Amino acid sequence: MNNQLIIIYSLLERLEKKYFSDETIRLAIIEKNISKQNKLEFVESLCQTVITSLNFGNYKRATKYLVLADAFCEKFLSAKS
Amino acid sequence: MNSKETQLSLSFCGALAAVLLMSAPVSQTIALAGSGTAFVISVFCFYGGISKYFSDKEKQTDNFAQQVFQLQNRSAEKFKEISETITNLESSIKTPLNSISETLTNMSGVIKNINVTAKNIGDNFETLNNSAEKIVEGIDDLAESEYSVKKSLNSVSETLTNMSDVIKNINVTAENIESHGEKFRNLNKTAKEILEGIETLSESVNNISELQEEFQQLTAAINRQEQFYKTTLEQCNAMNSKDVELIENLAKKLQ
Repeated sequence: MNNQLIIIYSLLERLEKKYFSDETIRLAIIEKNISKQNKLEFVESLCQTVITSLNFGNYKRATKYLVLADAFCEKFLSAKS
Repeated sequence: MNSKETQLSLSFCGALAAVLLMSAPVSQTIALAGSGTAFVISVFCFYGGISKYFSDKEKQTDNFAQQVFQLQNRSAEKFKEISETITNLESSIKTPLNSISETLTNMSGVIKNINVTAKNIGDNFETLNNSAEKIVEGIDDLAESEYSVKKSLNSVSETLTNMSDVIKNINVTAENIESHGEKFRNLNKTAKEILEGIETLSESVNNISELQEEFQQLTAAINRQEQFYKTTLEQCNAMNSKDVELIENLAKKLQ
């Protein structure tokens, strides 16, 4: 199995665990925080794009979208924000 | 002159005198007298002949005794010679007799064998008789089959007559076909053209085979190009040094 694929996929799982856990989704639904829900959907679409680019073997594109998702989550979904 | 001749001559003279006297044309008395004298003469002649015969006989007996004695001596000598020759003959005959006896014994063996072969021949004749009876039965069957063959021949003759009618019809159709000779000639021409077309087709098939080889070479080249494209694409899609740095930083963050 390709090393690049393993690394990017493992980093994506860590990102989802950190910013995209079940608790954050439940809180956004209970609080009816629509802006947060929209951000979560955006992050989810970014993660899906990373998975599709991994399926097509485009590791460069997957890296870009992964870094973008990390930056977005750090800016809008972290506890600091 | 010997005794037999004298006796015959005297008796002949007496009989001649008696006949001459009996046949003479004289009276009966003279005839009787002639016959009487003839009888007397014949009696005397007969007596003389008999006496002469006995005297000659006595002389002959004396001579015979001497001749017999000589003959006895000669016969004794001859007997001795014959006995010697017989002994020689016996000694000479013994060996061929022995050989003859051996051949006879061999012949008896041969005759026994001949008897055995004769018995075998008899047995063979019995088998031949049996086979001849079977052949006779087969001949009866053949007669029946001949009858059936005759029937079938009659049917065959009928079919032949029918066949002759059919052949007549075929002749008529053949004449009609001959009338269509021009059409057949045109067909031959078209067939020749088709053959030429087939030849050209075969040439084109050969060209196609050459093209197929070229196509195979082209497909091989395309496959090589595709492989090259895949490798270049992988190289393009692979992460470069900047991407690696970004990933390393991200990994540090997400630890």
